[in-house]
Amino acid sequence: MKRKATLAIQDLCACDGCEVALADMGHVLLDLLDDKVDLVYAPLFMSAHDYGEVDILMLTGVARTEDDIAHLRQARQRARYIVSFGSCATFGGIPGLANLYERATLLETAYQNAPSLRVGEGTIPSELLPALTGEIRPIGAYVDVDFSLPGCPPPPRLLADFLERVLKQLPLQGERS
Amino acid sequence: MRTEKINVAPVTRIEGTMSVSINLDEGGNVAQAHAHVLEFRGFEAFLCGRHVSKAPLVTPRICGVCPVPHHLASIKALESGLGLEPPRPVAMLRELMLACEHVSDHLLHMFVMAGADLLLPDLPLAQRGLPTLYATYPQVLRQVVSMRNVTQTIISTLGVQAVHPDAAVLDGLNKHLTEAERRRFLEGVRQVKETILKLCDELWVPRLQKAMQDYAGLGRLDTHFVALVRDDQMALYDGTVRIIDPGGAVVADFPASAYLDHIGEKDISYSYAKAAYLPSPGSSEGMYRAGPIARVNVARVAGTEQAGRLMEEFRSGFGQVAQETLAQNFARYISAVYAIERAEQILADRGITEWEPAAPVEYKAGEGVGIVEAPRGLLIHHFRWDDDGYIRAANIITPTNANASAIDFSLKQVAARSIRSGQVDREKLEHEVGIMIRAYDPCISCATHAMSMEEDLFGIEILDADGNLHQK
Repeated sequence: MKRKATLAIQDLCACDGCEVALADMGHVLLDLLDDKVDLVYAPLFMSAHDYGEVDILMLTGVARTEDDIAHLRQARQRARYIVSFGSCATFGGIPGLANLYERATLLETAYQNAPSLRVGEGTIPSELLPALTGEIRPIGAYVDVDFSLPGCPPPPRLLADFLERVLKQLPLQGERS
Repeated sequence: MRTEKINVAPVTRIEGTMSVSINLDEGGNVAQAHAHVLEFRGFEAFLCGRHVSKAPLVTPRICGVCPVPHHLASIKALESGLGLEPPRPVAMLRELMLACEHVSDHLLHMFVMAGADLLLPDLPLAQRGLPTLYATYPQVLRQVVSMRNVTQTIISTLGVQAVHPDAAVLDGLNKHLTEAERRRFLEGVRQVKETILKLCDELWVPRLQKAMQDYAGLGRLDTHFVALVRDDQMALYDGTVRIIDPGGAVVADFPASAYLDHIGEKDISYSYAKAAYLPSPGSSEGMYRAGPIARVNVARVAGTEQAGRLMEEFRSGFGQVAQETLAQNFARYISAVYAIERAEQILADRGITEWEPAAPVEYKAGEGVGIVEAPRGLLIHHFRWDDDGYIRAANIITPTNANASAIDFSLKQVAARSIRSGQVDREKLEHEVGIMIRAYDPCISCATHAMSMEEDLFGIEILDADGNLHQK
């Protein structure tokens, strides 16, 4: 008896469009949930707080904090296959445009120069917030990636084909029903 | 003061990453509560220096859950600044895409994100979500998927892909709708309308009513509301912006171009999301709410049959101006029905398949504002560009910026239900904070146009009077 493959979707800095593309697989996604895939972690769709060890970990978005990066390094031990899911994770994507600007410029534009700002002193937010760090790099710079799925977002059909093929590669015999 | 740290489960099923901190006073009661948006990207900065024709392609990437309104607010800003007005069929097809996005997005929220609380109230929080929903209600989830398939297919037919569409160009669209597509989609949206009404009548509304009894008064507050209206009816793509006070009196009606006279923003030291507010006196700290509840409260009538019927029901239950925070869920249902009825009205018009492609446009220096109703409320894009069409300044105000203050006020009220004299009912707190925040359906990506800076997905922090971490 084949067990289901465990799947986690972890978003880093993202627009969540990759998750919506996954939802747009529609009936194909539900068919997978029927007998092939055990979705264990996907914060947009469910309240599970962690994912332990999984067969497939799909990472979307870009990493900005040291915490994100530490999380990425940890990921390798927790997943049989790591998938760079979407153009942000694979190349940097639109958020990667930030690399063209000084960080101060990004913050000043948003919090000091916006024409609709009327009150406040143009404070750059920082209280109880994680600091912005470094440049945007593909997640492959931090963790060995097994598969890359570019696309903004990858089309639902591509996702379905990919999952079907990767599921065939997984040794899933007889571990549980 | 206790200083023990307890891990509070992250609150999920919202778009993006937000944490909550609660400050206690000397007596161990709630003094302040804040939502912290932990993401930042800086879209306004990286729009600058880019050609304005690229804005409708860049801005959808702010949010993968509601890319269509960003796409359309951008093209409307350009067209208003260049003095263009697209032919009527083009405006209708754009509204069709927007209406379909409202339906897709609301369905996901109603049946999965908030739906897990309504349909699986007996499951522990950590087990609520898509897999358990599907295991418990396979046929309902299949129906939701079939409905979203119709609305997402309409968007992707016009916009190449449903998430991050490439449809609107100056004065036009990249693609025509064929007569065969029009008929097929009309049939599809009629089925969607029937299915939503039936599913909600039989299952969803009774569950919502039960939840509203179980969590009576949760996060209630009195605010102003802001939404688009057209001839006093609900509107999505085009109309006048209307502000009403908590009693329902119209405070202002204004065109998109005048938004700076009526809506301001303030920076918040503890959040990467700015808070939008109404600078004119008369509202509590300028607080207002946007979104489905604002659309329903601000319009005199819905303008479509079934949404109109539901709106009457809504008003008989919640008053002429609904203020209950959880009523936002019911308003979201009305909004979904309104949107599918608008899609049906548009698709029933044979004239939408024929229009002439626009002539090439010569750029000149300009400035324009585009406003549409996103699923989560009023969305404002404002660009200024030079003679060659390169953007010099960009400003974006999203519905979650509008709701930022209201979420904080609701949060304080919700926290006080679980925290008394230093005693914290953690399970209740976590649960009620999640249910309240989900009622607002915040979109963190939109609020910050942000590079995600997440640590926790949604950690709750409790600070003592000295600002030290009390619990986490």
